[in-house]
Amino acid sequence: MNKKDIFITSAFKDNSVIRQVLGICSSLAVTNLMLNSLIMGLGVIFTLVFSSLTISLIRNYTPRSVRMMAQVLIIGSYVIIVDIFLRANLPEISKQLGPYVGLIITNCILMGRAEAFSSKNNPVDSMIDGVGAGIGYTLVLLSIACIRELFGFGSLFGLTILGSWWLKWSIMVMAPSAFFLLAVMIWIMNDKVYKVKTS
Amino acid sequence: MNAEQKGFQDKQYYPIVFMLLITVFFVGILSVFYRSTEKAVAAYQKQMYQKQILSLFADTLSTLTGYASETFIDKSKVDSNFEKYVSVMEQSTPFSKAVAAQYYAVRDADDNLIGYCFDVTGSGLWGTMKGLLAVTMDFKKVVNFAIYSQMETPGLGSRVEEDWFKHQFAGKPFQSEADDIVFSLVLEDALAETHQIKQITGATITSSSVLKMLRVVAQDFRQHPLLTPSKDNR
Repeated sequence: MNKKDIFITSAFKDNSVIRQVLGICSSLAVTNLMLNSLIMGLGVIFTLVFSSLTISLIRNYTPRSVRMMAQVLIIGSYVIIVDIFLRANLPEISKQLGPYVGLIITNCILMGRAEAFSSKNNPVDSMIDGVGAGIGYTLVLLSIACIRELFGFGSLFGLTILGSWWLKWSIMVMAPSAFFLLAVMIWIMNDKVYKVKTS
Repeated sequence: MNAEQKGFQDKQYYPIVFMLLITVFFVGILSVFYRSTEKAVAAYQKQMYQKQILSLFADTLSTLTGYASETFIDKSKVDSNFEKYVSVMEQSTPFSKAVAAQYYAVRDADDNLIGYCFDVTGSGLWGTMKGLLAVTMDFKKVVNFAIYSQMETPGLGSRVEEDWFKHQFAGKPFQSEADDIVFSLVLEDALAETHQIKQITGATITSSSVLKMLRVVAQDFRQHPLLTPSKDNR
């Protein structure tokens, strides 16, 4: 598989959220605001890229019996770096995201890509796979956040779009809206884009 | 990979050595990164804390001095304004777990006392919430209130730090002679009466927790009606 195919497969054809149903917790949790979703997405992209690179670099030396421990250690370290970076440089965003940055470590996409790809492929391909998976995840987050923030707050990225005449849909701000929006998105994508046949 | 390397990797203790090495490596990187940002984080937190205290009294100070409210919370002037208008005090007998022993007396430019600010603590949905409560000299009215540290749900309970939520406490009665003041919640889009607070949509538990926090603090103050500072750092 060439590098372009690796990226397209990772980001779109095998999108972690839509096709593999991974990383659902954060997709539901932080998608009520576009900015939170973007920062979360960037954090996941950073962690995915560097953890994939590191895991791939040491793949020939990693004992099989402790590989998952090593992967969690590596992913956790990069997550802490993201957390410290946000606290030092973007403290307001860090406060908004609260505990969710730390919870990137539990995001199944990271372990999924580590196990399925970077532990078996070279560092460059692994990084491209990480970028692809991260961008695919971020796009899904932003799509859901766009609908939730627009209808729930009448704004996008904090900028008022719908004005004071708009009666805010409280349900969009609350967690249940993320459940049904994500479900509808998976349904539409599988039916119209991926043409998944169910018997 | 040569045969010697292969042999080493077959040893029973190899996984332990491997884990030990990468643990030391990553802990080292994290320590360096943490140390390099520690001062920036601490300085930011201190400045935000001082700014928060000044912001609670900004409108009152503005009325008394004639300067715009923004002047008192201007990022470049926070340190000097804090030193000029705020005295750090300490109560020798702490009020309770909900109110920190260290508190702040705020004075105008002529050194007249205009109110007190207390660091208060309460439980939220996911963890501890910390706030700053500014009250008038007689403890009867809230000058302003703000939550400055919380672990509530991002985008829902975390909106407890938004201005509209904080500002609605300004001027509310805090203590009466006879009974405790009991606030109740109304919907976010509703009109709030004197003893009502607009709740955050989707975060009823967080909103209720804030009211509970204030109720506990009010009871603590009632049991310690005389605020006798034992130490004035000014």
